Amino acid sequence: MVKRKKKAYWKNLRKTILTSKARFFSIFAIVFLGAAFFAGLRNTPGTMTQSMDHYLDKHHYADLTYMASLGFSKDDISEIQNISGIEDIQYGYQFDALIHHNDSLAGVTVYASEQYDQDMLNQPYLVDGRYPQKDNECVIDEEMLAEDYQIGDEISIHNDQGEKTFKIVGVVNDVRYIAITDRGTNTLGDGTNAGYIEILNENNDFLAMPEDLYELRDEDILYNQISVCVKGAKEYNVFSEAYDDYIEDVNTKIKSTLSLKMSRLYEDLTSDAKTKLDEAQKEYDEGYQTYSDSKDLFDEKILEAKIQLTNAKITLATKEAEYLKAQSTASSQIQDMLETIESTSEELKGNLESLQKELENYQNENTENISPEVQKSIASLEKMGDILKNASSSLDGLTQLNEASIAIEKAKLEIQQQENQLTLEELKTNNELEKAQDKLDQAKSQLDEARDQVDQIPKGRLYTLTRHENSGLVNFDSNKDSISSIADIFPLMFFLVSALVSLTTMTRMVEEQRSQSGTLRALGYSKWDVMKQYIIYVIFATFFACILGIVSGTQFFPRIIYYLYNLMLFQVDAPISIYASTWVLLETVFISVFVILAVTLFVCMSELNLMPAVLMRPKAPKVGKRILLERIHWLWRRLSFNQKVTMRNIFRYKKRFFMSVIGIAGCTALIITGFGVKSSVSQVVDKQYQDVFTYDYLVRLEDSVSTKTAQNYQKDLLNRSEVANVEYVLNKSINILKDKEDLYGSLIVYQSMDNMKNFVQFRNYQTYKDLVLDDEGVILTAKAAELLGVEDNDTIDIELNETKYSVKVSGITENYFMNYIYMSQTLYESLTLQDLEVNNAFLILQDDRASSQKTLEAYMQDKGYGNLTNVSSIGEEFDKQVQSVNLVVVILIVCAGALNFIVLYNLTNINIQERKSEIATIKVLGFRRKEVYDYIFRENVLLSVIGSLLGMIFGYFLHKFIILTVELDMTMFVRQLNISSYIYAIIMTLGFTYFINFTMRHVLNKVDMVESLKSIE
Amino acid sequence: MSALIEFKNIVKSYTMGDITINASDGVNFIVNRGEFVVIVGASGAGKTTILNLLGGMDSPTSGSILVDGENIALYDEKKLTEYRRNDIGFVFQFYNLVQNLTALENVELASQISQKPLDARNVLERVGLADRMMNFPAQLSGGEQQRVAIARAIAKNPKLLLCDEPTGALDYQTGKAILSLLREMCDTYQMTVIVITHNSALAPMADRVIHLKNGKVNGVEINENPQPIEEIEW
Repeated sequence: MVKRKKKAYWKNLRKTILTSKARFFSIFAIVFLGAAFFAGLRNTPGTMTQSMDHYLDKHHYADLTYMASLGFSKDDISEIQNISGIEDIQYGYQFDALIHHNDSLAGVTVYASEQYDQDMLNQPYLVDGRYPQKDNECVIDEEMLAEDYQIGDEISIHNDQGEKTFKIVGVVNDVRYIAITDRGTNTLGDGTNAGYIEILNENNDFLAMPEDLYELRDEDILYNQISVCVKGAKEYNVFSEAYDDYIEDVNTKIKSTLSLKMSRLYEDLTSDAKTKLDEAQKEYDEGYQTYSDSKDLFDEKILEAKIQLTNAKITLATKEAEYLKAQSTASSQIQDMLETIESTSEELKGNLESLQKELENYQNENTENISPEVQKSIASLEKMGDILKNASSSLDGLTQLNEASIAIEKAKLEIQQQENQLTLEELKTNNELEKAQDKLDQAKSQLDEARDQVDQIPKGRLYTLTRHENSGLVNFDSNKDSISSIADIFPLMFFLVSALVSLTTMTRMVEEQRSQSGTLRALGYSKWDVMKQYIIYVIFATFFACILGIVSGTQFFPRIIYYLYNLMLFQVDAPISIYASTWVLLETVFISVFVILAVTLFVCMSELNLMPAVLMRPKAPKVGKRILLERIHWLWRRLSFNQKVTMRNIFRYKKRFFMSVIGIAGCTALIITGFGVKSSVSQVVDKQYQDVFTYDYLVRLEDSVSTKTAQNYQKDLLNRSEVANVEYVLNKSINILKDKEDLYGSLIVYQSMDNMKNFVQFRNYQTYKDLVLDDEGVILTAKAAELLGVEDNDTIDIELNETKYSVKVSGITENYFMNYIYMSQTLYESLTLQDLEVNNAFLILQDDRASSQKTLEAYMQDKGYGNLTNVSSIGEEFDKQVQSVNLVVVILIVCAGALNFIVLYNLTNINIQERKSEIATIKVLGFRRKEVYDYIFRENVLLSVIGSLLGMIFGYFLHKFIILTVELDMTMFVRQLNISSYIYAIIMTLGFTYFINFTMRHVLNKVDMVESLKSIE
Repeated sequence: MSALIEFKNIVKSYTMGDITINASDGVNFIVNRGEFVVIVGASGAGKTTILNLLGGMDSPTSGSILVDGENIALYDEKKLTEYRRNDIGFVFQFYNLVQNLTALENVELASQISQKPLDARNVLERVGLADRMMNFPAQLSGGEQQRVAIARAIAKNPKLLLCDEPTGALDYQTGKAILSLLREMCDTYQMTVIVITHNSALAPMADRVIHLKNGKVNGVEINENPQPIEEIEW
């Protein structure tokens, strides 16, 4: 009994599917498309990273790379080798150099390895030629082929350490460089890097490390780079966090080992010098002590001597005073005595005269007879004698005094002498002391110097390079993220449409089978039995569509996107490895199957809740209603009768209206996006190299020259008939910083503001108003401003020659390719306090003739005015890549067409099914075929028009979203949508609609007029 | 009175698998211009086949159908469409109004494609729906809907008004009113009206009654004095 019931039930279901192929197809197709898009896009990031991971693994991408300023010794390396978790370790060199080739100078990064073989880490993939086998052979970056390097050429590379010539023996793609353009910066030259070259370690170490480093470290062999492959890291995807975590463990171990070694090395290096320094310090200290001691002693002695001298002077002074007193006493005594003597002598004279007379008398008389007179005279003479005696004794005192005076004079002289001697002594000693002081000072400064030197012994810096430091990988990762965000938004539209399609379809189906459902219910089948029918139907339609969609989407979309990315950005021919995530699978199944199932259940519930009796009766036809449009009389009156009918129909079934409009809008939006993306990308070249850069040639000088020299070049060049205008500028790679953001860009410093405007058009990127060049601030290009979040008058920092300068942004200019910052000479010089030296020039030709270009080129090279690069050739290169965008356009158009087709097919189908009786009636009424088509299809056309208009808005945003998501740091796509994209989209959408109308004609033709005689089901 | 329609030896056979069924098996009759004709027969008597053939919805397997002298049996699809468009006014059992159109618009739907249409408003006034012109079918009663359907058929100014069980979905009184309206159209506007029904009680109101049985004409009655519909009871 049960079995029989089931049998009939299943038979009915099978018939239901078979008899409603169109309906089944509608759901199947839209679910397929949605699932394909969703799963495909979702699986793309995984496929991209997995493919790249396989590539990196295949060529032994080193998980960790270390570089040390002091180098790594054999000992260092062997110590790391002992760390657990390391599978392989290799050592070599990495350094910047300049390369001379065909009279041009380019920066390169040079990698040196011990040997080139299958097992090496960071294995360069050989494109052509062979690996280097001798120390003077090298392989070059494939990108450098474009710069006219060839196998067999000899190139000379040089840097601060030395120079060497290498022979190119091969062309490679290094696994460390997965991006086409990004070659990093160079510390030498103008800061740009043309590519990399790879050589052998042997005999090339001198280029990598300064000679004194070997002396300093007392080592014969040093390396400055080691690469490490972590054991088991291959199991993880390089782009995953799990990989980062896994690597981090080993990284920490190695880093701490190396840091320890380095700090020990530093101690070793500095300890010798320190001991010496300490000794010197000690000596100095001792010297200083001696000096200061002797100085004290000397000061003391001098002081003593001075005191003695002073004492002597005092004694002298008292003696002198005594002498003077004695002198004055003596002189008064002498005076007295002289007076006495005078008077006495007068007396004596008289006495003498009397004596003489007496004597004469005596002679005459007798002498014997001594007269009293004589007696008297003798007495007075004796008295005289006494007086004279006295006088003479006094005179003796006088002599004494004289002697004393002489002594005093003598003493005075002596003191003077001593004083002089003391001063001399003091001077001498002071001199010596000063000399000693000088010596001490000298010693001190030497000591300081020595200490500085000790301080300057490099501490040694360790650089760790993981995948986060590899700009190519980071770029790849961010591109993958772009795809992820597109995958988040894009398929939503399909799912929305598929939900609407199934909503309308299932509603129609349930309505159509109303009486059958009612009959089943009346026969005793449960509500669940009836519902189950629809559920199984939906699962049949969605589940298989979903699985098929997942499979084909996952195969198709990742392939095409990966192909495009490879073509445009990543040169490596990493074979694709499709990644299918279980999570995405479940997600897709969930959304596709369960959402539609939910919609179906909702429809069933609302219909089947009615009593069987009600169900068995036909549903009352939906009541005709006046629509809003009729209220607008002037418009309504203008519509033809048929148009009115169409309008009423459109607005009568809201679900269908939304389904159709959204589906068609999606179709238009996709096409707009397709063409829009193409035009946005392809316009970049024209805009940049025709509208923004109005010069013909970029001139590169080998060495920078002063502005004065450049002025002379300019004068000379302007005199030539080929040249219309020229301006020498400084062009330097710099870092632009704002808050925490930083960006790589080129600084252009121009000499003349007036002239500069002839080479680059400075226009505000939003208002297109001309910008004023001034000395107050710099002009920044739009994409840079956007990335850094800079607006007019903001201040940014620029890192130039390892110094940061703050500058004001006085304008943001339109620019599409690369990031530039323009600055006047005056501002540059006032910032850096250095004279401007120029290294580039912009040149405009008088005419385009190839001959005059050649003449000029030869002339400029001859004169050393620089090498010419045609600006348009830069553009051509980019143009080629843009071609690949055509593929995107095609894919989007196909998808758009499919979307449009499914939606309109479904709508038309439902309309025809539901209005069979109406169609039959108008046929009976005598409507001609074309009129019948119009009657039904005009609705499609009108919905397409409404959908397209709405799609223009959708498309505007979708295009903007996609452009902003896929834009690179150095490119600004043209974000405006061109009108032709809109026009193409509308034409194509309507074209699709007409195509569908055309293919659906036969369905209308099949509607039998006899339907009109039947009662409404 | 000349014959407007002449069925001559009409055979219509349907093949279902191996079996061929003759729905019409040599039907002959004529209808004169301005006549009110009732074609009556039980289920399976071949009414619908006659209706389809007369209405230009189908062509006979053999025989000829002369309408105003033209043999429509030989018409291709295109010509048949023109025939339906210009010569036939069709009244359906279930009215078959376009739900989305007002009464007036439903009439216009027909009159717009016709060569010499009557004014839609006038026609609606004629069927007594002057006040309901702007209403949608769902807002009208069954009888009113059938009136709209009749107005739609008449507005084309056809040679023939073909009615398929016009009262089949209506109650007795309303059915009567519709029949009397059809009679009026015939009497007042000299419209040729053919009513196809299973209800033989309607026979007395017709000028000509054609009885069908087993795909053949079983007999034709001519009523010189047809009874007014009000007097007929069933």
